[in-house]
Amino acid sequence: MEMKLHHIGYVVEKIEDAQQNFEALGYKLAQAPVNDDIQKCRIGFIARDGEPMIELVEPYENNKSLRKMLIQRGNAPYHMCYEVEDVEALFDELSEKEGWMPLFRPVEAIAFGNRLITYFYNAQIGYVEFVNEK
Amino acid sequence: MKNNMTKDEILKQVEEVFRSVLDDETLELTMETTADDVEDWDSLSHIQLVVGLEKHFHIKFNAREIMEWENIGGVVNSIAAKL
Repeated sequence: MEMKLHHIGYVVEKIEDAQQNFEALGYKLAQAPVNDDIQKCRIGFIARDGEPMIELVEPYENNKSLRKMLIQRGNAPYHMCYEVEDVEALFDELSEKEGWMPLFRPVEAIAFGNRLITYFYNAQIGYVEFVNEK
Repeated sequence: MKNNMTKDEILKQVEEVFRSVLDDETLELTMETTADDVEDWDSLSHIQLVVGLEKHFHIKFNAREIMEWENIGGVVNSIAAKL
């Protein structure tokens, strides 16, 4: 299935602080932060011309897993996200492949205008997110 | 790893893995325990639990299995079938 890199996800303590520091590298706000109560995060996007975006993910206080990641790594990239034509078909396809572990079935995500997303973990690659094209 | 473990023995070892991964020494699991019963058991920690169980029991799970687990009983049954 064809796919293209959509964004790199950063877990951050505070979106505005990270955004301000990324500005020194030429990034500008691409999408104002929104609250995603399903993923228990605030999510915003920054971008530079012609490049995949950076997703800034600020976990809620009760998001224990991402809070733990923040403590262990500090602000850091933790996933790549690819845009695909049919995330449901991609989910079925990858689920049959050895080494790909789904975190959850495709769900709507408010940060993507309710487009479907899903996540996989691969021990050799780490976390990979997929978002539906439309 | 002995391959004649009872499901109670597997459950006890699953509980040890959960305690270690979730950093909660007071956690107690039963065959009926679900993710809703364990505060820190979310989709990200689920993967860490799967990886921890694979290492502990020297087995591999497939995607279908880990998506079909509805409670700890499902986890234990999957492991029992592989030992």
